[in-house]
Amino acid sequence: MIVGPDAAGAADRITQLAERIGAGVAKTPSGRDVLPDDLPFAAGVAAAFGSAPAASLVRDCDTLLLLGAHDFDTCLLPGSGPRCRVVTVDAASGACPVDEDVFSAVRVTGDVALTLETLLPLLHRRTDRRWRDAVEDAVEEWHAEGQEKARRFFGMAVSPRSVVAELSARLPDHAIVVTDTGSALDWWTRHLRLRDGMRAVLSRRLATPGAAVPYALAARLAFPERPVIALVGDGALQAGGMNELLTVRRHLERLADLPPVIFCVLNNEDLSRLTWRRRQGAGDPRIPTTGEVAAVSYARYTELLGLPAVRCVRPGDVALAWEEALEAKGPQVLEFMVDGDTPPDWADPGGRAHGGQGPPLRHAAGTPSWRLRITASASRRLGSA
Amino acid sequence: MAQVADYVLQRLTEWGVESVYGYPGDGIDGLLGAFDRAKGELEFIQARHEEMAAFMACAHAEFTGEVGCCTATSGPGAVHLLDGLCDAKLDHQPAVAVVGRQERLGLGAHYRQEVDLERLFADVSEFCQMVVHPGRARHVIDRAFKTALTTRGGSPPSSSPTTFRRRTPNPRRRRSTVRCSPASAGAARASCPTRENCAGPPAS
Repeated sequence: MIVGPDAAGAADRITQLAERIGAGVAKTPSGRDVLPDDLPFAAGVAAAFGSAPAASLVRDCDTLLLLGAHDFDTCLLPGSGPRCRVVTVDAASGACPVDEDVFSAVRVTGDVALTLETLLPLLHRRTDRRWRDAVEDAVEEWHAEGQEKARRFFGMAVSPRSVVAELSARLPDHAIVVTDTGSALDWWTRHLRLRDGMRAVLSRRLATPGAAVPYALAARLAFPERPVIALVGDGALQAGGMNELLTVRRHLERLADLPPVIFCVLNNEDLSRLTWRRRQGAGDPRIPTTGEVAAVSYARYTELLGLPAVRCVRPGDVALAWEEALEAKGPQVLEFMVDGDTPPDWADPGGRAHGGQGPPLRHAAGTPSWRLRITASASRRLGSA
Repeated sequence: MAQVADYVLQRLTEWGVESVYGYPGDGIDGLLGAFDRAKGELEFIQARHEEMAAFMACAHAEFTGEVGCCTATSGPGAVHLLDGLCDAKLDHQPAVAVVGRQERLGLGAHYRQEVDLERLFADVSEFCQMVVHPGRARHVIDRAFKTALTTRGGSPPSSSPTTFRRRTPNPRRRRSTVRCSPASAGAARASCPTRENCAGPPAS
């Protein structure tokens, strides 16, 4: 199952359905907050550059149920013809992401929660749980591997993984997490685990660098009582975000006593996501003239504007920096000097999740380690890096 | 007597809009005055750039499920809006943009900052209409909101720039000039629509 933004409010039904038919559930990026990440069968984000378990799920399933997933990227479906059965439920007929000429889809038009409510009594509980068990094992291993990676760092540079992992461990209830495009998005995909009642929002399809700061401000004004955290890379912050901190400053008086709005800047002085794509895709090295981001101390810039800011440069200080920031009130910038040489965990470096890269997930119940297979296949593909 | 711009804000309020994200410019002078006269009824949140204002409108829609509203002046301001409106379109968020326009007499005459807004917004809007008569302000605003709200789930979604032609100050008519939204074709009368003289009663 893939759930998207139009399935919002249907989490209970989705959980019941997944339980009934023994399914795993991945989410589109815009549907990230439809279902909490702490469910054992929640396989993360299904997207180009999404999570590995979600990529395996899409690649290996025999039936794909898309629920309100108008932003599902059909390029993830292997090949150009129908390999698996596709069933879609969409609020509007025009929102169905699957082209019926290409895929033999059963298309249902209706409210997702209502449709599932109608559908559930008609479905028998699937007794063969091997697929579901394989998905849960894969998800568990993926999270464990992520935590392990987030604890590592090289030299004295802060790992960007740890920044998001430590935030994730401390996310306040009802938090709103806004993400910009860039490598912040990769760590959001990999290391952030949303709980029930949280929101996660990003400029999804257009993926405009610089959207997170205005998004966060709109979130603050729309929900004055909720903590707001924006994950922004230095490239995105320089693409308009720095300017918009002026708008934040302008409203400081009304925001100062409200729950925190934290602009978390991942400073690696590199257009990291782009350069990683180039490094992995084209085998090019980092090219300073096009990849480097002008060095700025965002904390000092923020202080110049009259907003509070903290700069964290040591791996051992990350957790404490988050604790203090989340306890504070009002807007603040939290700048982390992070290691730009941390490679992302893209399920497929080319941005596709086409099959054939590893053994099928549905056989996983009989094989020892899902993680070994994925990492083996990933290291093959990342060899050129 | 209320100006067209006051009515525009009133109608936005009636559609549930509480804040409008935007950046000032002379193409929306009338609207800016109306924000001042609205005395907090409707808040103008000044972004640093129209693109950012459109992102805020899009995000407001995403967070609240309501229509996000932004405003910009003609020409460069309108061009700046594009990215944020495109964001709203691609992520299926309902957004309405109120955009200034030069005086009708200046249309197509190489007027300063003239950009063909209908063409500019064609790819990012489900509905894009220039208001050319005060009596049509309500109708066009309502269509913009209805379109934004009803097509949000559709595949070519829903940002609805509504352009208001700005009337440049005319010394002979300074007192009665309506800067946001034009006088009617033929009779250059700067009357303003109110609830009473608009076609039909308000939806609420």
